[in-house]
Amino acid sequence: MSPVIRLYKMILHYHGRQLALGYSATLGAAIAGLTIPWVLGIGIDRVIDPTNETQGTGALLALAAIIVLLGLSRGLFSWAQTFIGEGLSQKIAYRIRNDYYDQLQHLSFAFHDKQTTGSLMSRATADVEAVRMFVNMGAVRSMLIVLMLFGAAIAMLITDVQLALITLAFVPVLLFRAIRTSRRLRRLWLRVQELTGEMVATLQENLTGIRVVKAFAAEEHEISKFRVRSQAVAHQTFLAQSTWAKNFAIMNFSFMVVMSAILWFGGNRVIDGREVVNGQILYLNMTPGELASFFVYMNMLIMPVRMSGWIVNSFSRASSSGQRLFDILDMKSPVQEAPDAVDVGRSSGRVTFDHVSFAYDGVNDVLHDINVEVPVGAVVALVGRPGSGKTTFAHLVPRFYDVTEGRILIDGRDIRDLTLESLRRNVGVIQQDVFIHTASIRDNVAYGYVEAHMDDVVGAMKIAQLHDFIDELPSAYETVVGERGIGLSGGQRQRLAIARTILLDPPVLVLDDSTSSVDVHTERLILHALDEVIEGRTTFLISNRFHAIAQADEILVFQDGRIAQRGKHDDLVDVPGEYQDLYASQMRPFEEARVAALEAERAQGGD
Amino acid sequence: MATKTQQKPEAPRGLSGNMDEIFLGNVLDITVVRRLVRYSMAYRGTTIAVVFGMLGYISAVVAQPLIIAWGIDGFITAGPDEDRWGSLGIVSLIFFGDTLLLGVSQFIQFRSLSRLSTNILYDVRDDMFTHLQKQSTTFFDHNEVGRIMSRVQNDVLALQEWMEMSIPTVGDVFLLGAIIVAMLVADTQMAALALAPAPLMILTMFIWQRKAKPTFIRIRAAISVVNANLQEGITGVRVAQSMNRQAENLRRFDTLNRAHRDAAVHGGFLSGMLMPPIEMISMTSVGIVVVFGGLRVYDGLLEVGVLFAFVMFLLRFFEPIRLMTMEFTQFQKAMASGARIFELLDIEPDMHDPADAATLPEVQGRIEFRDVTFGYVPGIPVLNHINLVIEPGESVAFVGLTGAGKTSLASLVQRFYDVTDGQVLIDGIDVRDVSRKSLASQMSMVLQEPFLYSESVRANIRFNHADVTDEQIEAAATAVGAHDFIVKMPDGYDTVLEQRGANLSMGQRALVSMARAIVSDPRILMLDEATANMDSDTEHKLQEALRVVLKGRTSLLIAHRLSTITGADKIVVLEHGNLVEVGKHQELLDQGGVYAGLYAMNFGEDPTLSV
Repeated sequence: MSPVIRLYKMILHYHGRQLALGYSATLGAAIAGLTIPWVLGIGIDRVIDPTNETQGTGALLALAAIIVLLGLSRGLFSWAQTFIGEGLSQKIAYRIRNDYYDQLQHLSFAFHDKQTTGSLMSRATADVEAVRMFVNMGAVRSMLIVLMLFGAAIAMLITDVQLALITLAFVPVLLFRAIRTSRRLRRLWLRVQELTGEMVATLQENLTGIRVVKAFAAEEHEISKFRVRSQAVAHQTFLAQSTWAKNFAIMNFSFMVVMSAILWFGGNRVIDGREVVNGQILYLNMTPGELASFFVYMNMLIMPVRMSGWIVNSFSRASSSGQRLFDILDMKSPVQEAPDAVDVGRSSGRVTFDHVSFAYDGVNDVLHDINVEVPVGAVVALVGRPGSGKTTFAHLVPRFYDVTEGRILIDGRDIRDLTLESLRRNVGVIQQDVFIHTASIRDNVAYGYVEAHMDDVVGAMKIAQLHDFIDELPSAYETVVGERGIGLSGGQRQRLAIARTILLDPPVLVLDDSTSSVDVHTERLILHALDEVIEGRTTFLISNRFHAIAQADEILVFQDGRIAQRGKHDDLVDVPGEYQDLYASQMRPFEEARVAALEAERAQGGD
Repeated sequence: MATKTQQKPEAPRGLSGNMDEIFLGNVLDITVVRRLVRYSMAYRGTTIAVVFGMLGYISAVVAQPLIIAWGIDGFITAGPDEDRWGSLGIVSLIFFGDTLLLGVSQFIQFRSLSRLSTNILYDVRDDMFTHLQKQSTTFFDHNEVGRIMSRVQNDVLALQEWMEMSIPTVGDVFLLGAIIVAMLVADTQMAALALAPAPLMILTMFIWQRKAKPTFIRIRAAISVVNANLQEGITGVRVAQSMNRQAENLRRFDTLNRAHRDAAVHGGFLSGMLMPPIEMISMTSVGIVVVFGGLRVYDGLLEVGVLFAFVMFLLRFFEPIRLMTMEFTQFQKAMASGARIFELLDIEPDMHDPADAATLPEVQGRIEFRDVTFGYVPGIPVLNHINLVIEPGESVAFVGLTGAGKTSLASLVQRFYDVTDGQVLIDGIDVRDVSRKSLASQMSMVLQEPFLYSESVRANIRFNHADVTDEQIEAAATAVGAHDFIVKMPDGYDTVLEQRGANLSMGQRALVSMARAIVSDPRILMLDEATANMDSDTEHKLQEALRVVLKGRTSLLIAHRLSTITGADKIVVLEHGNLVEVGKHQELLDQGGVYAGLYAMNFGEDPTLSV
């Protein structure tokens, strides 16, 4: 279904009555507007007709009163139309924004892996705005254009068919031109946007990498780079604007040409039909007042014709923007809850991988036929090079992705038979890329458990070894952190993530600890925290720290999507294989240190 | 546990306030307008074209109703006419000529205005960018990238939108004056009467504006909150899903979204509210003309065409006033943006090359810290009385906990910051006595997280060394061991990297950045070693590359790997900004001091570290 039709259906479904009201207001405004020139025409004929002199002031006052009333009612109708159109468009935008937000919250990791925040945001801002504009302009106000055009045409035809035909002959040409131009302009402006995007990217790179620029004293190099981009933007903007200027001028010019035509043909018709009968002037073809009303009608048409281009644009924008939005809104998350899914309650934490294979694209296996049985409370270390499949393995447990083949069981039940909510309540994940929300520290810790008692929050933070630091801040737990708050260091973020997960007390824990760009002191704090955290939980530990790995109940060594080796540290480290290789590469500095230390001891002993 | 952010407390000279929250500017800010006018001075020719275009436009518009009036009064209602071409024909032709003048002058006016505005905006952007490049590192420590971006991007955009919007209205403002004059000349008495309701209109606008302003400010603030929340929802989606936060998140989003919707609906109500009084007031003017003018026509004191011309004038008169009122928020936004732009442009860079800055001659690479004290904030020194000599070709590893002052010390050699006290000398020359450019040209840097640009590999390695040949680029890449993987890429050296070099592995990025550092064969090198663990292959390659890079250069290493530390000619140990130990690995271990402690903590087996 075309997005525009869907939008119409949406409006009719939710706000049909309002749309009808909006159209009625539009009709009222159009009728009041179109009556004004007619009344003016009558007025002019009155004043030049000497026989009316006797009626004098009273008639003129009546005319003036009618004009003022017509103005007032046009104003009132326009008010209603603006209010309804704007309101309708905001309500639809609100609805779409909410649906969009909710949909994004529920689409699985597979979707979010492929999307950038920027492109999702631009849908939420630019595309929603385009749809909103369409509702206001295209759906509601377009009716005004249509009514004005037809109304004016009818009014002119009634007044004088011949002159009306001459005048109206121009209108289709002007309409066509207005529409074509606005399409062309849209392309030009899209190009401006593209170039602006490139310029912004250059700017962003420059600022993010400012230390490199400073270190190399590359300021001039950067300025010339930016200048190229900025010039392109300026050039294209000017091109778009001057195209617009040209067309605007041509449009005005064309209207005035029509006015000249009215002046000449209309003037001639008035003069031709002028006869003096019994000292009284009669206009048989057309009165001067009618001619005047033509001028006013023409003046009134300028706005709708000019807007017709916009309206057509708003349709085509809504069509592409609506499509982009509906694409997302219609998407089905590959991770779906079964209709008869059950709440698992609190599981004991026994996890089984039964012939599990997984491919992100459904074709190329990232994991192949994995069989693992993890008893309650066991610590399983996942080891392997980047891309070996260890993180993917861990992400299958909370169903961030669904297995391609085989099944994963918790306490003997297929995780696909459980409600997502209850599954994820049982599986806590501490990701390596810790996201901190712009909110107080308390809210960040209680992120998954909003009603958490303050004592529990503090308790979790103590276990995470972060309480002391927070307590010393002036506003302690009310301190706002995140993008628009104070910054936390990498180690602090990681410990905050630990705190917010243990607050939920999950029986199964996935702990991704493979980034270790923290200094030694912090690393020790983290390791201490982890010690307490994993106590009594089934834990999947992704780590490079062999201190931690060596303590695991079982180590799974991943290589190209398979478990190449498994066992305990002491069994694996002496066997040639992947584990030994990894251990050697990670531990080499430590070994070197140990040798150095031994030598040092020997040297001291020799003294 | 001090972090970097805490060490450098509140910005003493950062950019002010939150970008989104300042909307309370004036509709016209004289200082902003004056600065913009100053920019337009450079385009005098274009400005003159604007003025001429505008004059032509105004006279053409004012003439129109008058010509029609002449046609009506002189010929149409005057009685039969033999020579139709000589009378009405001439009027129609004159009208057509006026039309032509209108079209051409409007085109000239708009085109020149848009040329002027794009040029001004280009200059403003260029000035901002150039000005930013002049700022010292301190400035960037204090101002987040996002905040600066928003100035160069959003604030200039607000100016641009305002200018675009102004293009069609500038002429109309002057037109108002011209219409008043034309009406007064045509019939003073009637003009005075017709314009009598105008002050009422201005009063209405004024009252409306004051009433509506808070709502429009609220709408804008509300949408920026909605979008910020949405963005956070997207970036934090993984946490939300793993912690079952979706419903709560939606509830919170809905609250914000609803608040915006309600404000915006109210905004629609308010903007429509202006229409009835405007229509009524302008139609009252028309009504006055009909009654008063009608009576005068009866009395033969006024011709009907002039009456009609008045009506036409009045129909045009009130439209620009209405438009300007509706767009007042745009004006305010632009003025506030302008004020912020000029605030940025007025920040004096805190580090200047002296006027007589010499060029640093080709150096050997001897670096001396002579009693150097330094702090980011006055009174809080990060380095205390450092004395250290690094001989040409020597490699020195700096060791110490986070916050000990390693990075600061290296930054002083590059003059990212100026010392608070003491001197940093290169080959005996104070770094402050030579130009930054000549100083930087003899040293380079490898960052912990390599920063690459979304350009070709070649351009990344060449960077600002325009005189470096393709052969030299390949030689540098070969030396660090990057050549092999580069030639395997789709377009070899011309392969364009994705943002931040995303299509390269972390190790490859590090190698490219090393090639960039040595392509100009600098005498001095700073290297901030990566802490992240890499697989053994990469690790091995990086160590090899490091050996090549350091060879024959004076190098300052902020080392994290033991092999790098032990391989250095000299180890410098820092603690709380003091230089506490200098020596070779073994000597320092034997001393059993700070280094030995750090060493044990880093590399010794620690029985308490268990999971």
